[in-house]
Amino acid sequence: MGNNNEHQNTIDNNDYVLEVNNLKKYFPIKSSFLRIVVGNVKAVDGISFKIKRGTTMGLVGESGCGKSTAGRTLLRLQEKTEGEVLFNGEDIFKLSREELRRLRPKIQIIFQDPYSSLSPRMPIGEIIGEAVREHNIVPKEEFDDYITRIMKACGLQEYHKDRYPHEFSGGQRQRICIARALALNPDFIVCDEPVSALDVSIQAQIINLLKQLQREFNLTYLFISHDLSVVEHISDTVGVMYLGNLVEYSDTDHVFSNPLHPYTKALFSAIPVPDPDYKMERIVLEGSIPSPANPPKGCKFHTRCSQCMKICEKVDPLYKEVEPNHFCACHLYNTAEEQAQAEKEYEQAVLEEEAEQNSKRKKAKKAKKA
Amino acid sequence: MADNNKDNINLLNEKLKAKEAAERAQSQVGTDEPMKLDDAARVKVLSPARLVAKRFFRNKLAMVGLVILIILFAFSFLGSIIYPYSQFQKFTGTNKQDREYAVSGEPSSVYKYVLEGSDISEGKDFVDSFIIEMEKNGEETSSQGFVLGNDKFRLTRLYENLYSLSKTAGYAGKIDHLTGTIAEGTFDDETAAEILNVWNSRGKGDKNAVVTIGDIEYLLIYGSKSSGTMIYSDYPEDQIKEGLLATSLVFDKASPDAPDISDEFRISALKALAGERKFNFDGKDYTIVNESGEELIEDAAGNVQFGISKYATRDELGQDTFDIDFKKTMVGIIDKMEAEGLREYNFTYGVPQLNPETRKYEYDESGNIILQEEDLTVKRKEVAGEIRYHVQYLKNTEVYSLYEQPSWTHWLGTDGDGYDVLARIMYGGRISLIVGFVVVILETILGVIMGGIAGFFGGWVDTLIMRLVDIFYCIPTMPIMIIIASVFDKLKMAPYQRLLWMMGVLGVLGWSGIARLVRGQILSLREQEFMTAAEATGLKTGRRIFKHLVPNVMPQLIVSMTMGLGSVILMESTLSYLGLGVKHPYATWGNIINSVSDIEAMKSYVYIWLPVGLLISLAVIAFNFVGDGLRDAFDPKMKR
Repeated sequence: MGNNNEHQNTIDNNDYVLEVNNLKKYFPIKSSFLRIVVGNVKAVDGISFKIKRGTTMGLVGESGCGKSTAGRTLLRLQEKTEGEVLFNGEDIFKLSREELRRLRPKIQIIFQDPYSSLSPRMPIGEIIGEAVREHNIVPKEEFDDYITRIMKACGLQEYHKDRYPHEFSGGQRQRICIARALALNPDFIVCDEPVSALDVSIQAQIINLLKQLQREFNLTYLFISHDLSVVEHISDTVGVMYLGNLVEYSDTDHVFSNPLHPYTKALFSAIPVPDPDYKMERIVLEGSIPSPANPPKGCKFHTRCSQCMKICEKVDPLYKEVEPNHFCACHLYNTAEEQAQAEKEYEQAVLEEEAEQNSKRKKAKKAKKA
Repeated sequence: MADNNKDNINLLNEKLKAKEAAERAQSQVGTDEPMKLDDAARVKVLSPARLVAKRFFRNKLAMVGLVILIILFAFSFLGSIIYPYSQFQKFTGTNKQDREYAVSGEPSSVYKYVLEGSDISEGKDFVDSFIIEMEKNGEETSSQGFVLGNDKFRLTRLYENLYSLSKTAGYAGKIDHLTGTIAEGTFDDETAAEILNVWNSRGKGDKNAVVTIGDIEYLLIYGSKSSGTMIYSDYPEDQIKEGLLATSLVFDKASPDAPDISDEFRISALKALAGERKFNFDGKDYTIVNESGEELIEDAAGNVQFGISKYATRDELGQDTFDIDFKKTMVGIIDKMEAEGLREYNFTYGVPQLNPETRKYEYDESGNIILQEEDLTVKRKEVAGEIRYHVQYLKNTEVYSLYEQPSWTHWLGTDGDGYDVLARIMYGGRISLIVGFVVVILETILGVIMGGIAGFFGGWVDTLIMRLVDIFYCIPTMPIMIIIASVFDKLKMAPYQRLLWMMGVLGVLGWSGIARLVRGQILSLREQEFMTAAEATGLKTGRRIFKHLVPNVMPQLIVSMTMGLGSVILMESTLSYLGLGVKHPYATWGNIINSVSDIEAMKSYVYIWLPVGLLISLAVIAFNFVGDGLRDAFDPKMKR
């Protein structure tokens, strides 16, 4: 897989809030009785990207492709398996617990379900202000006013402070979640499908609120969603994930106007167009997404790809810059050299497989004789 | 990093401030809008706790439970302060009780005194029956006398209840076969010759022979060649001697300084009684005087020293402690009763008073015993053919008020120890309720700590603690409590200490349920997104547990605690009822019922166990009502 950071480091490193290099997160599968690890669910299998300060990166993909896991792992809400996450040039996986706790306010997360992400026995003012007090973000005498201001900025009223989450609608709760994240003055917010649980009109409000806050406070978002229109609306860059891998990454306009990867193409063909006369040319993917515990060899997408080639079955495609600032992992865009290399690898893989099968057969024969 | 952070913060805050200022400037242009009726800000919103309280107070059943509980607590804790009696106060009352004072009657056997120089020994044991025979026939002298082997005896009535026994026939001499003469005994020559003649001329082979000379019959019985032939005969009248005095008369000392009575003295006195009524003993002269049917022995100076009576009078312990006056009175009364055939007789007499504390008779300054006139009753009782006269009087006795019926002084009566039942129920309620609370709090503390650790940390800690919980779950409480109670008994633990230990043991045995509950709750809460959010905002672990997890477990905890209170009170009552819990004299509801546990007592003393039983049931029901009410109130699916 194209896991090396082959990006051209033309821009100053400081401009990137977040840099993710070859991040992997495997969940071990344990046998039920002896608790021995028998396999791994490769939720995130080596992704790399960078996010510029003040921009939004959209992360799209179908359910179960590892978007949310990636979001949570790069916040270190769960430990990584491999790779590094540089936040302002600092690897957050190398921090001690206390250092991490201090860093926490800088990276915030907004969850998908606004109902379960607020403690039901706490008034809103306390939910928003708790961590502010914990981290001494504002002087004590300014605390109350500060919370009020934050709430107003997020479209909440001051009298909401003493109310409890159960008295709010989903949209308002999501505003509370945003206020909680914003109050800590973060540099970077992971929005983990923040609008998926809301109805469309509220979705627009929340998206606009996020955009407005970004404008006003120079926030950086990683916007995880399966809703492509939302992503198109809010994102500056888009990454497309399939089965734990980033298959395509570029500016939003690039990706939407000129998708390179067959998966991206199939995905985008499903975007409904609000024009009754428009005839949609849908690329229908056959089959379902393979199990991340046992991903297919070679290109993970080859089982469902309409343009699948021989080499796709055995050789991982490289994740590389196909067009300027447009990354993609697909054998369709191999240069001649790369193609030759891939074919070589393919032959070797076929040979290896045959050898393996032979040895297996021999073993089986031996077992029969015995 | 920190400086950088501060700069950023200020930046955010400044931006917000600026925005606010701008907005204010804008809004100042427009008029201040008055609050509208449907303004959301006007809606009064209750916090979850107040919402729960509101729902709880609207639940009628829960309120009934709460009111019952408040009354129970007031009754137990305030009631026992106001109530004048304590749980250890024994109540006494005075009661007139029949008290045995004395027993009179004829001696059960006849006293026999063998006179000096007499050889009577065998006849002694038969005297009693012959006296009875004689009294029946009203004979002065036994007509036939009685025969024992070759001996004959004669019983003579000397005086009332005084008889003398004499031997009238017996061994008189013997024929010595070696010399062919009469060897022993005094016979005149004629008689001796006749005896020998008859003996020698007896039929061949005869071993016995009878010779009659004049009135006297001689019986000859062959013994052996060496010992000779025995001669038995009636004694001549001048040779008959009194050998034994038999009497049922009893000697009593008349004055404290009279000498002790010896058998010799008695013999002298009895001899004199039938004869000249004057005798000398030990160098002193005594006279017997009959004073209104009483025989009194006076010394030379005329002081009454002894009395002789046919009735013996002894106190209730069988001791001879009464003075002669009382004995004389008793003889008079018995005679009267016998004469008139009365079965009961009342009279008044001065009775010495026993001090109830020192258990001794009271004396006045001059050393005389203090007497108090009492109404005495003589009752004639016949037991196994013997007639006894029991002297009884009603005595004011201080007694414990056991099993007193409910009255105005004791609203629920008194129990088998003389304690006031109401006071004990109040104090018992204190212990029962306190035990309930302490045990439940102990259980909860243990359960929350263990369950919290297991739930929050998971992994092997969880496995370990949960297996421990399983073990505690399968410990059978009752047998364990019985064993532990026996250990307490063996250690002879003080009741109060025992109470503390029992609470500890119950708490330790009961925490597992709460631990499971808490663990389950925390396991589910831990995975909620607000916990992830709390972690993402960088809150410390302690704050996450106590501010986010614990408040969310509280509802279930409060419900299970309230429900648990009832069952712990029941458990404590059961243990105390079985005598395993709090021990007497400390009152608890359980051992109050235990005090009337046998079926007869339960039938008779309903007023003791029924109120306690009701209180236990009420407490348990009330706690369950309140628990149910709380559970409903905490249930978010309930209508607001």
